[in-house]
Amino acid sequence: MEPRLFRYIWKHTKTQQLFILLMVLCSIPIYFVVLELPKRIVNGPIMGEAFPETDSTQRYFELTFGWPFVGDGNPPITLFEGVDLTRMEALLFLSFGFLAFVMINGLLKYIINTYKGILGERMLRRLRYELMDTLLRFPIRRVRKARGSEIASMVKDEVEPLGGFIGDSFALPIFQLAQALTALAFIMMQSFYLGLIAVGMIAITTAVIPPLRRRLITLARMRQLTARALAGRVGEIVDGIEDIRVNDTSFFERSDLIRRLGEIFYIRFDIYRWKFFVKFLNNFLAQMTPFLFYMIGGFFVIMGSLDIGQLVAVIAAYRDLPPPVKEIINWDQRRLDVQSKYTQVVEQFASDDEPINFELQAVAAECPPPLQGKIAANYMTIMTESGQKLIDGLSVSFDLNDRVAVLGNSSSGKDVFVEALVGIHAIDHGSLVVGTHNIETMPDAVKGRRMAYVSDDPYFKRGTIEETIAYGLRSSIMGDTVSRSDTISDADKKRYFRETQLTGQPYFDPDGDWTDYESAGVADMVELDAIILDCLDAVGLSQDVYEFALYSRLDRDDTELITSMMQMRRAFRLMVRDENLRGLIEYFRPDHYHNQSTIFQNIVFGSIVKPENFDGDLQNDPDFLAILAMNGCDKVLFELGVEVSNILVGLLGGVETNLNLLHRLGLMDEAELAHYAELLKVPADIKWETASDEAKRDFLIPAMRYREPRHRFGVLEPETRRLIVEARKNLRLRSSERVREAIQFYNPNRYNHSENIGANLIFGYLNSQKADVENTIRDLIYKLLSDNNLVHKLMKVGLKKQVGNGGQDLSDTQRQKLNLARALVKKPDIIVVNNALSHLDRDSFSKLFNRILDRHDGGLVWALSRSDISKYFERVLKFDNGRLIENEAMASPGDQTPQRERTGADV
Amino acid sequence: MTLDRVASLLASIPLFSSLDLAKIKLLVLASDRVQFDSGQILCKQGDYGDAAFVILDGDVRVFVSHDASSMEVARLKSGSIVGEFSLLYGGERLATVEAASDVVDTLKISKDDFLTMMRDFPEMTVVVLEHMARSLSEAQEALASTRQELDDLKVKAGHG
Repeated sequence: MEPRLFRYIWKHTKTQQLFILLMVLCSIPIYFVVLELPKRIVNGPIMGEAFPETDSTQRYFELTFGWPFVGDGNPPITLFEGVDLTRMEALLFLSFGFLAFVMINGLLKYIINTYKGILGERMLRRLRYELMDTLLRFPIRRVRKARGSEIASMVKDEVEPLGGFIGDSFALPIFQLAQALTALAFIMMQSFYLGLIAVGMIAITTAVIPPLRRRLITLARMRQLTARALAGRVGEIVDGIEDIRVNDTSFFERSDLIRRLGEIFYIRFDIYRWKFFVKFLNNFLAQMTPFLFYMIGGFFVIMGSLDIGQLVAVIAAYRDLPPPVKEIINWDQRRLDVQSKYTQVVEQFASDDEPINFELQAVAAECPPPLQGKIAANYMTIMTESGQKLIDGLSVSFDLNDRVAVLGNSSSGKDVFVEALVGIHAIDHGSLVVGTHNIETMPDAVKGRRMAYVSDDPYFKRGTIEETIAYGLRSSIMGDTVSRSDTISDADKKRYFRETQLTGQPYFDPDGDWTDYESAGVADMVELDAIILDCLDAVGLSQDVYEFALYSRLDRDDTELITSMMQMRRAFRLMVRDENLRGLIEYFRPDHYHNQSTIFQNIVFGSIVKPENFDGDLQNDPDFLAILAMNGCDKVLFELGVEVSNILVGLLGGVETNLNLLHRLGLMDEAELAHYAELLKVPADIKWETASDEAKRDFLIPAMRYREPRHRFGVLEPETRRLIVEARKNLRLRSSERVREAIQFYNPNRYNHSENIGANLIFGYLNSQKADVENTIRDLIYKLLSDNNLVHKLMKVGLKKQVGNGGQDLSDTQRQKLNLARALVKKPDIIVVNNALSHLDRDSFSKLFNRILDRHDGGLVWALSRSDISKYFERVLKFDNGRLIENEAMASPGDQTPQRERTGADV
Repeated sequence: MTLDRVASLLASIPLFSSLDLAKIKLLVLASDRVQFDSGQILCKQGDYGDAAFVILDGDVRVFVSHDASSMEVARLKSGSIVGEFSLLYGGERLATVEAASDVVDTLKISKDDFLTMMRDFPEMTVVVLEHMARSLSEAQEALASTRQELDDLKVKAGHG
């Protein structure tokens, strides 16, 4: 990148800068007219000096030119004879003229400012892209050394002031300088010596101020670095929050933050002091000039060697000198600031010791040819920065299609070897050749499409499982670059395209189709989904994905699957009946009390979809309470609440409350238990007729939480159940619009979108008293769905599950398996696995291994931490202390590999 | 079955007879009622034991397996407690218990609750000890008679 800011700006914006300058120059005469016209209006029509009579006229807008050098004898050329106007006409004409020029002036200003703004933003966009583009090309080792938050702070914040400066970078100093020089020239014309004084003062200013500024530049740089380091620390704290909390080092971290904030403060403090001192000095020097004019000019006037008129003219002219000088000084201050920031940032992104190889990331339209030949390391040595050897003079060669186990302990160098195979490490001596490519010069296009790498701690960006797997196929945009997104109009797309070109960036539409179906051997997304499911099966994630689906909600637009699921709800009931398992589930039946639910759930009998409709919660909503009062349910539940409280206080209200049990029952917490114990002592409060409103409300709470099969107090009479079911109906039919639309009521004939697929299938609660009920029902649902060929469809829903930030919604094993599936999908020539899944037991590993071989017949290099599973490989490399200590070709791995038959069980 | 009924049922079992009804109710409240259908397994030999079962209704069969063979060693009725051994020494289940009648109604008492009860009520501990001692003595008797039979067989075989 260009290290000098001005050269960078000029290189990319010279035409635009010249245009701005031109516009600024154009605006000068108009501005002059705007200043001039009021004077004319006042002196002309308003004062009326040129209009002695009411009907006398004055000639306006006459355009004549005299000859510049031979003008004396020749008549002037008349371009426009002008018009004669009366006083009133002149007033109107000049006033409207004034208005017109004000508007033109404003419009010009608007155009110039917008143009400057856009120009700045374009440059900012270009700069930011270039920075990130460079980062993406950095050797991996160098990116690893950087702190993400510092880079983010540089790309986002530190270059920000550049945007505002770029529009002013050339036009402003030129314009202001021209004004200043004009004023200076005028002074010189009036009095050469006084002019010399002005020049002298400016010279002193330019000699004194810059050295003082140097200190400011240093401070600005310090401030930038400290702020960036702070951003880095903030990032570090966020990343390491677990360790900070479990080690109780938050105060230690705070102390560091406090010191850093203090450092920033003192740097700022210094900056302010210097900045305003420089400003003071500047102003002082500027005021010195008139002082000298008055004193020396006055002296000469008194002495009679200077005309008083000349002095007045000089002083008047001097009034025009300071504003442009001030502007230039301000501009210079900003220049220093952005220049320092720019240099600081660019320095971070440029380094001579590790030049960036742009060839590595050339756009490859075609899929590179398959890798063939051998993998060969020739006296390869890889060292840490401090010179410690991670791999020491390794020479080894094996066929690219070999299945190789790489063994050794964690510091043996085996991880470094497999990482080197995919170019993660820089090779210090010797070479590593994969097929016909030296790994250090192997283009990313070859690495990405012909090789796959599976680490044990993969990082997944946010997205669904499907996107995570297809990520490996997204090396370049396929087909036309037109966005598939419907939210953007064609005109907007064109605009985006043009704008992107203006900032010198290639136009890649992230919404375009990036998936390389060809590499995966499919024609479209539908076929790819089938392959993805196949690969998930190979790595043993099918069951997980199926369960993700059962726990996910269906898309409202997926009417086909919704219909199927409603059919399955009915089929499930028949199946349960046929299998004689009815006792295992209690279905939701709108006309029956639901024993497995609490009383509150029985009344609501649905999912609350808009909790925001209630002020607080539904249970205390006046409309809800009114529904209870409608059939006397409130009284019955109050009495039930008193009874439940009485029993619970009797059992648990002792000196040492069994808190564990109290929490498990879920009827009341510790504080509530004490509260109800007190409440029960007031005789008036436990009778409906005499109870206070507060007691009525309070005793409703434990009643609402009561669930007969769990609590078994035997307090739920048939009549109470009947009243509750009646209240349920009233709530559904007679409550306010606000309440009704907040609840999606259970309806046996309707799909409930606020519940997951599994809950919709069961449409009831499992009978918690039955042994092994979850497993029985889980197996039953699986059987039902597979009998109806729906498992596959549901798994596609499971593919839409979000993996979370960095994949944290998945377990470690799931992440590793997903990473392996991603490798399988793109059908690489060689898969390199770094310790992933080597924690599986032997039996599971053997199954997994065989299923991988079913899909992948290319090379496989797997770094393992256990030797007992190495027997499935054709070759075993063993590392110790950075050296290869064993290189053994297995006699015939086929004999030792368990039969390569497909097994249904999951790993 | 309501809390009161389960509690009074428990009170009639020797193991809990020394406890007052309020404490029994707490125990019942803390425990889960679990129903097993005929043939379902309450606990399996070799599994880690985390709960004991009080049989409230129905019969269960107790099996002990060795190598590939499995032998029924007891048949227990309502009022019995099964699975408490593994709770006391924190190990594997010593036997497999299977529901023998159509529906077996049990109260599943977790390890923590059971041990808390034992600690708080020494009377109960004594009953548990008696129960275990009786089991041990029965086992010894069985062992002695088996050994006698084995010796007899050997003698017969020697003569034969």
